[in-house]
Parts: sequence; structure tokens; C-alpha cells
Amino acid sequence: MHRLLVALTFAISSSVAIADKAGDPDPRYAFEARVIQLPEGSRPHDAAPGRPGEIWYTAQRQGALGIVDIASWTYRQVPLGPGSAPHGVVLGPDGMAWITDGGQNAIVRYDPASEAIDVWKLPEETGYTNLNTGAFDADGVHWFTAQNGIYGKVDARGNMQVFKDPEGRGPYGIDDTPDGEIWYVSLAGSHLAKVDRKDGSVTMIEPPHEGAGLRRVWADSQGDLWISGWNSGKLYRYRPESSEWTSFDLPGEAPKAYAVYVDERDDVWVTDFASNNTLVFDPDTERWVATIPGSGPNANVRQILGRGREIYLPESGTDRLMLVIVGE
Amino acid sequence: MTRMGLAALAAGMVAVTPAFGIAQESEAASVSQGERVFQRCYACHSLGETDEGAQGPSLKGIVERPVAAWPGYEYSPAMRAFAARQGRWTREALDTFLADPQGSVPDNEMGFFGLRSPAERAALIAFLAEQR
Repeated sequence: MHRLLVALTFAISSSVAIADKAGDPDPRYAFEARVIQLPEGSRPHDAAPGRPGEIWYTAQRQGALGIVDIASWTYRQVPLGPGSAPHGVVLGPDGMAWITDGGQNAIVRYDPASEAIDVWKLPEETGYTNLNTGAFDADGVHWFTAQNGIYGKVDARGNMQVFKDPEGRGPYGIDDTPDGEIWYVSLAGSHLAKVDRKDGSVTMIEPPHEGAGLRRVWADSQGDLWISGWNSGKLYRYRPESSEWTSFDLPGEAPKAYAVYVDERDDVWVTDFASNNTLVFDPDTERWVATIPGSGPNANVRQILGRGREIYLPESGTDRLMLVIVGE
Repeated sequence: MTRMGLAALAAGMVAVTPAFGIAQESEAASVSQGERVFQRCYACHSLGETDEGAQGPSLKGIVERPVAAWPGYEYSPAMRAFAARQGRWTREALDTFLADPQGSVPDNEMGFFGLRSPAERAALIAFLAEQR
């Protein structure tokens, strides 16, 4: 399905832009943003880099993988199968889109070259698992989480294994570190978990605040883990080397930290549902350095990802996707 | 009542009893199916009095319960406004909401985009009606 988009391009002056000694805005945080209107009711949940020049997104309510062509600023959607309701998408080492499809209770792989689709159902005995998000380890194995208390792995041949989280419901965000290890967080269980890739067991690590509601996790270039606290309204950093936690308050009253992502400069991006903003945190100064408002009320950015200077903000609440280009 | 009338009544009873039995079996099957459908809610909703960590309110007694009234749960402004209009979670209101949560209560905070199948919604509501 091809549709012309309603394109909107505008420059965003970050509302909390950090100033240099002369008082001028820091050019690193002078962003340019473009917004694309996606099909009404598509509810774009997650986004990821696709092939060069493309952004992939999951159209959760329309059972499709969306593909945005950045140059022409147009999109198309690829249906993923009966009952599909895709949550997460990541670019695999094979150049394909690996999708955690809650509706089909399956890991779905889309080959952009041939347009072939593989559907690897979870084992029957797991029942409905509420699949969430995926990441690739150092061996190219796809690890995934499912909110009903499951995590698992599937390789490029479709061989799958699933495991039960020790505390049950809650596995949500997942990421790989630069050394190819896999970590995930549990929203309901409110714990961080390191996966033993050999036997599939996990080591659970508790955050400093009980009931923090750890929603998503992302690793920076040094292997430190940045984690969003949905209930606590905090951004956490966990250093595996020293087992040290540090927390940072989001600005404002009663913030709700949802998505977290670390860009290639090691700046940390966090979405706050309470203020309807995406916030940028500088780990060096430990300051919030930029604020990017949603393109409309209740934009509900549930995930962030990017490539190079590009940052993708899928707005599930407005059926739009914002592309932010960060400064040099 | 005439003999014919009694016969007709008896015949009717014979006819009605199996149908009632079938209805009971159908209801049981629907509840059973609804329990499976509930797995889509399970990540965020419990059926008990308390469940620390669950992101949504308990669904215990949700059918005919006042909207946005689970003790101690902080509902969104959108859901509170809906409560003022709707009053109780009737089966019809639940069916409409479950079909399109964002469409029926815009800006509510539930991260679930709906059950498209009317049969699944009916089964889920039948199951939830048993959770008292």
C-alpha cells in the first residue's frame, strides 16, 4: 500500500537548550525534525532503522510493518498476517526486519529484498504471551521478551526456546551491550535481568527504588545500561562493572518515563508521558539538555531508536512518526 | 388446562430442557474461551484484590462495577471523565471499549489497541462476569 503523506518539516529549537559560556545555544542540540502522518488508526508502536534510507515501524493496530522512505518522505505498509498486532521491530544482522508480533504470538521476519515473510509461532503450551521487544546477541541470535512472563530466543533457522521469568509477568524492554550480552527489564516485576546466553537462565538485579516499574533499557558505548522507571519517574544508570546504580529525576511533576535510547554520541533520550515530551540527557554534565515536544497532544512515544544523526520517535497517539536530525 | 395443553407443555419442557443445557454448555465454553482471551490482559491486570506491579487496575468484579473506581488506582483524566458520563461498566460499554479503547475513550492510558473479534470480546466479558 503506497500513500502520499502529509509531510511536515519544521525546525525545533530545544526548549531547554544548553548554553555555552557566551550564552549561545549549543549547536549540538539545535535539532531539525520532520513529521510524517501515517494511516489513521495505525498506532505506530516501535520504529527502527531499516535498509539505508528507510525507517521501519510497527503499525500495531493494522497488523503491518511500515516502511518510510526518507528521501521521498513517503510510506507503505506490508501486512504481516491474519491477526497480526506487531509491537517491536529491529534490524537483524541479516538485513531483515525481526518483529515481535503479539497478535500472531510469533516472531515474524520480513525480508525486504524478496518480501518473503517467516512466521515462527511460539510453542503452543506457552499460550498467549504478549510479545514485546527483541534484540540480537553477539552470535546473531534474536532474544525477545513477552509481558506475560516469558523471554526467549530464536535463531535464523527458526529454532526457538522460551524461558519463564522468575517473577512472572512483566518482561518488557531488552537490549544488547557492545560485547553482545543480553539484558532485559521487567515492568511489573521491576527488575533488571542479565541473560546467560548458554543456558537461558537469568540473574536478577533490583533497582534502588522498590516498584520503580522498569520499562525499557538501552546500553551506551561503554556498556552502561540506561533504564526508564515508569512508576518512579526516574532515569537509571546501572554499571555492570561495579554493580552501581545512579538515578536521575525527570523534570516536572509526576513524570512517567517510558522509552529510553542512547544515541551514537552517548546522549540519552527519554520520553515522558506526563509532559508529552522527549527529553535529552547529557551523561557528562548529568543535565537535561533538550526537550522535544510531541507533534500533538498525547503523542505517546513508546519507543525510540535511531541511526547516526537520525532519531526516530513513533507517536502511537497521533499516528505520526517524527524524525529528528541531531546537530553535528 | 386440557390434556392437549398438558401434552404440549410436557413436549415444550422436553424441548426446552436440552436447549437450556446447550445454553449452559455454550456459556461455559464462552467463559473458557474468555479465560484464554484474558491472557491478552494478564500482563497489566490481575483478578485479585491486590497485585503489586500490575500497571492496570484489577478486573475483579469489573462487569457492572462503577467506571474508574478500583480503590487506590490512579486513573487518567480521560477515564475519570468517561466515568462521569458512563457510570458503570455494563456489558455493552465493555464491548464498545474493548473493540477500540482509544477510539471510545480518547487519551486513556491503556497501552492496548483493542480486540477486533466480537466473539473474543463476548467471551472475555463472559469470563470477567464470573470474576467476583
